[in-house]
Amino acid sequence: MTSTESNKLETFYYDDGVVKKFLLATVLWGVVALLLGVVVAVQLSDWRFNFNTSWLTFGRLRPLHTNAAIFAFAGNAIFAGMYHSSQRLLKARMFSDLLSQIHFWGWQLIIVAAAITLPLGITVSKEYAELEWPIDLAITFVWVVFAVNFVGTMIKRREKHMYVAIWFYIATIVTVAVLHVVNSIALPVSFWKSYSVYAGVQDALVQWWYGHNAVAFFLTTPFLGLMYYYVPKAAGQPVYSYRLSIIHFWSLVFIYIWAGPHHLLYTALPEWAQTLGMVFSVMLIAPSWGGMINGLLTIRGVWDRVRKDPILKFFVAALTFYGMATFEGPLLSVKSISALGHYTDWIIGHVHGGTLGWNGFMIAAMLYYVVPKIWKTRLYSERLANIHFWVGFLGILMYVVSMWIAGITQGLMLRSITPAGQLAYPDFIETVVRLIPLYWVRATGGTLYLVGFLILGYNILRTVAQAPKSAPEAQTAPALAKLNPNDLLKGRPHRHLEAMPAVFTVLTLLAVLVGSIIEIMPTLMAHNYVGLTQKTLPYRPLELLGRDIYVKEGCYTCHSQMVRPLPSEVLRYGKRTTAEDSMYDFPHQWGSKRTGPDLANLGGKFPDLWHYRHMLDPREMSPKSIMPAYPWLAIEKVDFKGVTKKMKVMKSLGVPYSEAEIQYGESLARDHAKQIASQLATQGVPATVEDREIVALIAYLQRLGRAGGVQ
Amino acid sequence: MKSEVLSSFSMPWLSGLGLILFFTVFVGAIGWVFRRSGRDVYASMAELPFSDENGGNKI
Repeated sequence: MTSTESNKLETFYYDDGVVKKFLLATVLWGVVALLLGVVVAVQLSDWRFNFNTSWLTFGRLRPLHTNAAIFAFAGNAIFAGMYHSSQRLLKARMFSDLLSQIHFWGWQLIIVAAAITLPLGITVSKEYAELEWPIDLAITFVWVVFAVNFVGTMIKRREKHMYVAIWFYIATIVTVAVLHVVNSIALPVSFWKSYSVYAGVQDALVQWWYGHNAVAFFLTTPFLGLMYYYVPKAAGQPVYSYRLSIIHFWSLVFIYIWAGPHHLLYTALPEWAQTLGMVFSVMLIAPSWGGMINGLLTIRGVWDRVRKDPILKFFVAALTFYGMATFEGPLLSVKSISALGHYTDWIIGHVHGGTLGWNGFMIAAMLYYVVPKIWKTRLYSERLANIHFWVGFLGILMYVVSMWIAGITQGLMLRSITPAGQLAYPDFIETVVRLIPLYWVRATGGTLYLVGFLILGYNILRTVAQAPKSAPEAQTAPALAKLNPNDLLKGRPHRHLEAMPAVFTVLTLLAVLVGSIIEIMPTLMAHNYVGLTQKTLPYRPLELLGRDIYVKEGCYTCHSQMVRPLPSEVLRYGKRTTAEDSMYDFPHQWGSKRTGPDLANLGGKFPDLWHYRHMLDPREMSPKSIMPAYPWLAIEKVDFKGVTKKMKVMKSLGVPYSEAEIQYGESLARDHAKQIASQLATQGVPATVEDREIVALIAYLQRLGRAGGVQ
Repeated sequence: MKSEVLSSFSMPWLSGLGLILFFTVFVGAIGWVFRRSGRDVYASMAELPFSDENGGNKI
C-alpha cells in the first residue's frame, strides 16, 4: 500500500447465501449421480434391469450418469468452493448477487433439462457433451455470467495478491469456455436435433481434446484450486511449497491440453498426433505428482490428526487417489498398454478411481469443512463422517479392483491367438460371460459408495438443521491501492503479474490455445494431404435415418466402430478402419468402450432377419448376450419426412448429396424401407414393420464397413 | 499415413521452435521461482488463506 487514502478500512459482507445453495445442490446431485451409477452398473450385471423400456435403457442412462457426476455433482461442488474461497481470498463480496443467482438457478435448470432430454434419446452422442444445442447455448450463457461475476469480483478485490487457488479457478473458467464452445459447434436440424460440424477423424480429435480436457479443467484444475485453499485451512498451516505450486500450475496448464489423443491410440487418427498425445500424457505425471506431493506435505507435522479428523482423512485419501489416477493415466497412454487396456473395463476403473477417489473425497472433505463453518455450528457427527470414509473407501476399492481384473482379463482374452494363428476366444460373448461376477462386485462397490454418501447427506442435513439463526458477519479490509503502471518497469514483474488478472488470464489462455492449435489444426486440414484411397459414398437416406436411431439409443456407449491395426482385431473384426470409413459421420461413432463387439465391419455379416430378431431379443441370437432388448424399435415410426431437412444440413456440412437425391430423399427412404420389409416379410416378419425404426436401423447396420455403398 | 503426412509437412522448424520455447519457459520459470529474493514474498503469499483468521480483519 503506497498511497494513504487506500488504507481506509472498508466494511463488507460475504455472499454466503449462494455458497449455501451450491453446497446443498452438491449433496442432492451427488445422490442422484451415484444412484444412476448404481443403476447402470446393475444393468451391466443383468440385462433384465433395463426393463425393456426405452428411457430406462443403459444406452440412454449412461450419458445421464456421466453428465450428472461431472456437471451436476462435481460442478455444483466446485462452484460452492470457488464462491466460498474466492470471496475470502479476494476480501470482497461477489461482484453481483444477481449474477450469482442466475448462475445458480441457470445451472440447476440445465441439469434438469439434461435429466429430461437424455433419457428421451435427445443427444448428440459426443461423450460428456451429449446435450443438444439449445442446452449448449444455455451452458454458454450461464458460463459467461459466471465468468463476468468472477472477473468483476477480482476487479473489486481488496487483496492485491492473487493466491494460487485463484489462478486455478481462472484457468478453469477460461479453458472450459474454449473447450465447450469449440466442441459443441453444430448445425441445427430442428429444435432438438443437430449435427456436429466435425466429422470422422476431425470430430474424434476435437471430441477427445474436449473430453480429456473436461477431465483436466473441470475435474482437476478447480479441485487443485480447492486443494490449495482447503488443505492448508484444514491442516492449520500454509501449503508445503508455494514455489512448487507456481511451477505446478504453469506446467499443468501447458501440458494438459496436448494429452487428448491418448484416447485415440491405434485409431485412424494420424500417427504423429497419437504420438504427440502419448508423449505429453507421460510428461503429465510430473506436474500431477508435484501437486499431489505438495498437498500431502502440507499435512507435515500434523499427521497424528489424520487418525481422528475425518476432514484430513478425506483429503489425504483424495490426494492419494489423485496420485494413483495420474500415475495410471500416463501408463495407459503408452501405446502398447493402450493396445491391451483401451475399450475394456480397465479404463472404467481408471476414471472411477479419479472421480470417486479424488473428486468425490475432495468434495466430501470440503463439505465437512465448509458446511459447519458457514452455518456457524459444529458438524453433527464426526463418527458418522468417519464411517462414511471407511464405507466409501471400501466401495472404491471394490469398484476399482474389480474393473482392473475385468479389463485385463478381457483384454488378454480378446488378443489371445493360438499357435495355429487363430483367435483363442473367437466368440466375443465368451469374454463377456467371464466378467459378470466382477460386474456384480463393481455394483456392490458402487452401492457402498452411495451408502457412504447418503450418510454424508444425513450428517450434513442434521448439521444445517442444528445451526443457529445468524446474521451475516461484517468484514473489514483496506481498499486496494490503484496499480501504478510505472512499477511494472521496475523489476518484480511476477507480483505485478498476479496483480493483473486480465494479463494473467490472457497468458493462461495463450498457454492453452498454443497447444490446441498446433495439435488440432493439421488434422482439421487433413483433406489437404490425405488422398482418398477408396470410393466413399454418403449414407443413403434411410441409412442416415437409421444412424440417427443408433445415436439416439446410445449404441456408442457399448460398441466401437474402430478396428485397430492389431493382429487380434483384424482377425476378429476384419479390415482395419481408415479415416474414409467415417468421413461423413457427423459426429463420429468410434466409441470408447466395447461392452459388446466392434461394429465397424458389421455390414453384410448377418442377414436382415438376424438383426431384426437380435434387436427385439438379443438372447434369441446369442443366448448369453447381456444386451438390452429394443422392442420399441418395432413400434416407433420412422420420421421419413424429416430426412430432407437432414440431408440439406448434411449437404451444407460438405456431404456430396445431389439436389435430386435431396428432393426425392423421402421417397428413396420409403422405397428402401419397403424393400427391406418385403424381404423380411418372406421370412415371417409382419409387413407393418416397413415404417418402423427397426428397418432404418437395419439399413444403417448393414452399411457399416461398406463405405463404397451397399449394392 | 505417417510418411504421407511427414512428406507434406512444410514446417520442419516448428518442432525445433516448440522444443526451444517449452524448454526455455520451463527452465526460466524454475529459475525465476527459486530465485533467492522470492523467499519472503512466497512465504507471505502462502499465508493468504489465513488472512481471515486470527484477528485482523474481523470486527
